[in-house]
Amino acid sequence: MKMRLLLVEDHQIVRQGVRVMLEAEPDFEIVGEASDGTAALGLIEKLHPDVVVLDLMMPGIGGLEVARSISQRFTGMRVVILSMHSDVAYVSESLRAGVSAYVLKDESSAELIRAIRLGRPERPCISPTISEESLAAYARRLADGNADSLQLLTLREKEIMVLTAQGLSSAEIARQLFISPRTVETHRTNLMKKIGVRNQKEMVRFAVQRGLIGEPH
Amino acid sequence: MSDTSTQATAIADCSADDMFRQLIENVAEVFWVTNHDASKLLYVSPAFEQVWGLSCQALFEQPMLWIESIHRDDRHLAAKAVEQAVTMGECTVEFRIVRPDGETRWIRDRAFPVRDETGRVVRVAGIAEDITDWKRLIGELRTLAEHNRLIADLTSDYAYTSHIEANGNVMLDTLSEGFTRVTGYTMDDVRAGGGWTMLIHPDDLEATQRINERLMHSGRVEGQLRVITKDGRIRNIRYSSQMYASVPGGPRDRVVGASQDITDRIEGQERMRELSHRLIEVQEQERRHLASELHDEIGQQLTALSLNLDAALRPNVAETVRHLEQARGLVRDLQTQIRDMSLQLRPTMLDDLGLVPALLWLVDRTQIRTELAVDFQHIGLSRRFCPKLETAAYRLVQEALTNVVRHSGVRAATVRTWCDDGELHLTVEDAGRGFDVDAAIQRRTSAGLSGMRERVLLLGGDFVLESIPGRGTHLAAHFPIEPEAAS
Repeated sequence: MKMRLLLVEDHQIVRQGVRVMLEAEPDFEIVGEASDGTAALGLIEKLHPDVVVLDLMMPGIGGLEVARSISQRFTGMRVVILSMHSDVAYVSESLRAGVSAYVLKDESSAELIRAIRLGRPERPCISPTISEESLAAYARRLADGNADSLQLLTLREKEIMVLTAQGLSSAEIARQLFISPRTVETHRTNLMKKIGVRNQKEMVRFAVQRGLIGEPH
Repeated sequence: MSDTSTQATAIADCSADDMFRQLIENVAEVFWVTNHDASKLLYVSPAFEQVWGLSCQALFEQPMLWIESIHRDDRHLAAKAVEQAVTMGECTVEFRIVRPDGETRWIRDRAFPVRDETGRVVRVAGIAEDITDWKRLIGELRTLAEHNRLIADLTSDYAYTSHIEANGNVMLDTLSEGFTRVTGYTMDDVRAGGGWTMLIHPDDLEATQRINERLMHSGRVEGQLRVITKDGRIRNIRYSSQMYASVPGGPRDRVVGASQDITDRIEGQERMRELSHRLIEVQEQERRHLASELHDEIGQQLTALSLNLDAALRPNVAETVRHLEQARGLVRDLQTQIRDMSLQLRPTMLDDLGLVPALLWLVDRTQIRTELAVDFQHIGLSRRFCPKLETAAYRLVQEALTNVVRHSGVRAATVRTWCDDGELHLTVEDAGRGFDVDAAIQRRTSAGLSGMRERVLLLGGDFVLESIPGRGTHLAAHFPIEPEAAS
């Protein structure tokens, strides 16, 4: 039995090129073509292809959105992204949308054919230019979790928090840092917002807890 | 016979006393006479009944009626006036009376002693006059004047009045307080300094000298000139003056005018012009860059590609494969370059994936291309914002990092962004050489700085830039998350 493919790509020249390339494979059958997301979703509903070869960038409903709605509504249907973006952000986002493979447009046709045959959402085929490590690193950087509120503070804000906790007045801090007392106040307001404290007492407690200063005497 | 001669005969028939009586009994003023110490009323003219609403008869019968008719608060004034007239001579007083019908009227009463040959006071006489209408008119005038003064003082503008002397000189009469607010000078300063010309910018002096001529000629003049304020600043003033006649139908001998400080408006317009100039400049620069990149990079690659394909067409199979492989390599390079150019113009991540992915890309790219190590942290941004806000925030960080690379002299910067209370906050900081912010903005050469500020203000946000020479630069922007459309 042949593998039934739907081709979604907004550039006609590219679509034709890909079609010619895929039709050369004896076990592939191209059951339909669409040039935008809306048309693609209609055809998917109607044709139930095995694999959707999907361009990431399209006007209107983009490839990512189509991929998301496929993985939500059509279990078992596989999506192979054909993209010009080698950026890890796009790969990461596509994988989160549940795609089976992510192939770059400038890779050899053999890569695309291999990905259509082998890619599974649980073990996606990713372009060899994108490493597992870079994906993992990106996920860490994208996540909120790495943003400890202390890390949000600028050096200047940390300086002011410490000096305030040590009992210096705004005027004294201003003199020490060569800035205006008004600027000191602004920094303090900002830093208190960032670490989520409402008053100076709480701020001092925060500074002690984080080991920025010793216990006040 | 004419009426005149009949009247003349009638007057001749009358005694002087009769004539006097007729006069007194027909005028609107109330004429009264008392005995020497004003304790007894001897005469009051019939006008009393009109003004007071009381009968003369009643007044004779009840002498206290006179003092009772006076408004409670004014009785002491009237009593004192009579006493003064007896002891010291003539005296004028103004008081209110309350008529039996409840109406209050203002009276001006002039009392004077009547003396005999020896100089002894034998009677006190007086003329009382209803001045209610006059008082009301004065009150209205006063209110009007106050009203005008308040309006003149409330606006940023000022008004002035002058009169024209016989020799044609225009002399300043009044100046509203706004004048001092605008120029720092008082009217006395202007008078002492010899008139308006003392504060006019030297370059505008010649033009201003024709203002009076134009005013006399057409009765109205308006225009614009520069003045130098007491503290030495130059302000742009828009003025208009109008002549009018102080006496209806008479010659136009007065001038009234109003002036307005339009410096801020002019500066705003200048700033707009500068911004649009800069916008065009930036656009041209980008186009130039794009054109040279297309020509130098893409164009050369395409030429190489074309040569390889030509070579591949030659009937030498071994060479054909080699040339095609080279061609494929060139095509890949081209793809990379074009993608790069496109992302540099506008990172698609910003539209497709959101602010944080776009910033991560920017940070990586900056790091690779400029060796600037960027420490980037974010909290609460795993959501989409409106495209305008995402673009503004992205461009702000991009511009700020470009500045760090160009000017800070250090190879490290921190970028922080977080969300709270409906605001998106953004800071970019470096510990580099810093600069004098005011001076940089004054120079107006820093297209970047004012561009950044404009972006933030346009979305209703706050923009703070602090820099200490030798210690670094701190830039912060706070955007409302649902910005009111400032289109």
